[in-house]
Parts: sequence; C-alpha cells; structure tokens
Amino acid sequence: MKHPIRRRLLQVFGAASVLGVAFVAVVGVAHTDFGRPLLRYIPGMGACPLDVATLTAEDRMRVRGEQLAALAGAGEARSRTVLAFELGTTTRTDVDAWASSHALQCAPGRSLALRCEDVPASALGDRGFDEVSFEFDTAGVLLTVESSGLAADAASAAEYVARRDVSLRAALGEPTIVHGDAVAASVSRGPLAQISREFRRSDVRARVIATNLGRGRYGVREFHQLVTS
Amino acid sequence: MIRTTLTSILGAFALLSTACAADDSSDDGVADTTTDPATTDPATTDPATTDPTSTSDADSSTGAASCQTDVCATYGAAVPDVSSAIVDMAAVDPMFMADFAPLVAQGDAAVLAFKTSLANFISDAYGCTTDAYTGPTMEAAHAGLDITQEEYDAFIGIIVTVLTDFNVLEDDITLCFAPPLVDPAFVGTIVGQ
Repeated sequence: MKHPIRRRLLQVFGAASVLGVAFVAVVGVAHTDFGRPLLRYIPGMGACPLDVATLTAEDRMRVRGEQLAALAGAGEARSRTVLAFELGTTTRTDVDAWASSHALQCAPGRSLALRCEDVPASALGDRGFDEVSFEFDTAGVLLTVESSGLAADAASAAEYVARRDVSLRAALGEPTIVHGDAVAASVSRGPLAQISREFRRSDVRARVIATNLGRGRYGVREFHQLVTS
Repeated sequence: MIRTTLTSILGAFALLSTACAADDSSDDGVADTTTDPATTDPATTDPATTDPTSTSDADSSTGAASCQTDVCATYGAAVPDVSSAIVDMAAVDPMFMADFAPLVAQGDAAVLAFKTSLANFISDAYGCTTDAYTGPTMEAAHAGLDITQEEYDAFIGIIVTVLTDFNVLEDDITLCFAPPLVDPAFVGTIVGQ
C-alpha cells in the first residue's frame, strides 16, 4: 500500500499536469485559424475583428468582383500590360517561370497569392522593387500585379509617379483621380505628403502612389487590378 | 504515470508550436492587416518623428514644426466618415482585399460594426474621446500575423489618400496626423507582431 502523502502528491501532480496540458492545448488551438476568432469571447483578450470566417476561393472571387465592380470606369483600357505581365492573359505558370528564370525569391503571400522580394529592374524592364505581388483567379489567370519599394529621395519618388503617369495615360487614358503635382516639393513637405494617380476603366483599375513615410523614407507603390475578365 | 504525463505535456507543446508556425505562414486571406492608425497619444509622440524636411508651421523658439490645429474641434465630427472611407478603400486595395473579404462577405452590418470600432479607435487615439474603443490592443489584434513594413506603409498610404479626399489640410496631415502614424513605437505594435 502506498504512503498516503506520496499518493496525495501524485494526485496533485497529476491534476496539475492535466490542467497544464489542457491550458497549452487551448492556447495552441487559439493560435490556429479556427481558434483565433474564438478569442473574442475571452474578456480582455479580443481578436482581430477581421478574423471572422474563412472564405472559399470562389467566394473570395465573388466578393472581389462585387467590390471592384463599384469602381469600374468608362471605356476599356488600351492595354492591360503591367511590367512584364498582362492582366487576364498571363498565368500562374508564366509568373512562376519568370520568377525562376530571374532566380527570384517568391513565396505565397499573406494576402496576395504570390509575393516576390527584391525584384531587380532587369526582371521587369522598369525600376526594381522591394516587392512584387500577384493575384490569380481560380483558373490561375493573372488578376492583380502590385509593386512597391522605397525611392532614394523625394525627387526620385516624384519622378516615378511622373513617369508612370505618362505611361499609364498611354495605356489607360486620362486619370480618374489626381492628387498632387508630380514634383519633389509635393512629397518633401513632411511625413505623409503624397502624390497619387488613379485610373478607372471598365476592365482595369490602376493606382500609382508616392508617399513620404517619415524619417527620410519615401515609398512608391503601384497596382493594377483586372476589374472584369 | 509521471512519464505519461510528461509525454502529454511535450505533445501539447508540440501542438502549440505547430499551430503558431502554421499561423505565421498562413495564406488563408483572413488574417488581419488592419493597421488602425494610432494608439499612441499624439501628445506624447516623440517630436523627432516629424520629418525634418518639413518647414511648415515652424515653432519660432525651437525651429521644430508642430501641430497648430485643434484636431478634435476641426475634424472630430468627420471621424466616422473618414473611418468608413478607410475601410472601403482598404477593402478594394489588393494588399488588403483578401483580408477584408471575409468581413465584407458577412454583410453590411458586420462592416458597419468594424467601421464604428475603427472610428472609436481613431477618436480615442487623437484624444477626442476616452475609452470609446473597446476592442483588443494593437498587439493582441495583430499577434502572429507577421505584418510587414510594406503592408504598414501601404495602409498609412490609404489613410493619407482618405484624409486628402476629405480635404484635410496638407499641413494638418503632416503635422497633426502623421506623427503618431510614423512613430516607431506605434509601428512596432503592428509590424512584425
């Protein structure tokens, strides 16, 4: 027969261990896609309000179509070419081959389907970017190209928008929304000074933006979205 | 019994580690990228975050630019509309579209609730209200999402565009709204969490 004290110690240790396992398991589940939304029910913990439910790829495409349809402009784009790609034509296979041929570091993005880092100018026929991301439809056809990076200074950031403005007018026509003159003074005023152009056609939406990000950082960003196939 | 218990604990830790790792690399599109504009009190923001290139509204005694506008009195009433526009714009931005899609799919009521929460957050952040925001801290909301600097930069770019659309004066954007948003202490509560 075991000593009563030893038996009690084993019981306490056993109970503590079970509680420990349960706690770790709950925390583990709370870190999964399934569990994160449940955090909102724990007082004081909260969770991101966007963590509501996963969508199927088809549902995501449906929501995308509905959202972008509201932004469709008049007339079709003259060209759907973006950097080295063409919206609605280029496929995931094409992009993978492009990335491979330029030895790029690409991986699934958190939001967009594929994100390539440190893309040099030689891979794009334009300036290089810190990131170039892609979105595809369920058939693997290119829907979105998004590129972003830092400019050397205000003049470079403004020059980028000015140059892209000319190219985009040729491909997409007149801009729908214009913010700021594409000159250095527009972004050198201070943090969050910005220049942007947005083009909305019936089939393509595009934006080019230069923003003073503070502390001497100037960001340039451009994206093209296929509104309709 | 002890050996069995220890094995169970190790197994549970393995589950935890796996779950976290899977979450970090998740590409499910439901992860949060909302980079709500500010949690830091503008009054406590390091003035060094103001871009040294700015020459507007320079303080004659120090040479440092500072906000001369009563943000709450001037813009407080517009916060709900500004918040709404920020959400609408993020929901169609390719960098955030997939993140917002699940919310949008839930319908107008869910989107409105999120917009209201964001408006409360902004209002509190700029000292226009106190404790109106009841959601999670920025750290908790963004934990495990591995939000990048590029994503953060893109989101504050959206905020700037919306403020401009609402005819907020350029100097007010630069001197009043920018400091908390570019404050590394605040950025650190979101980026890389």
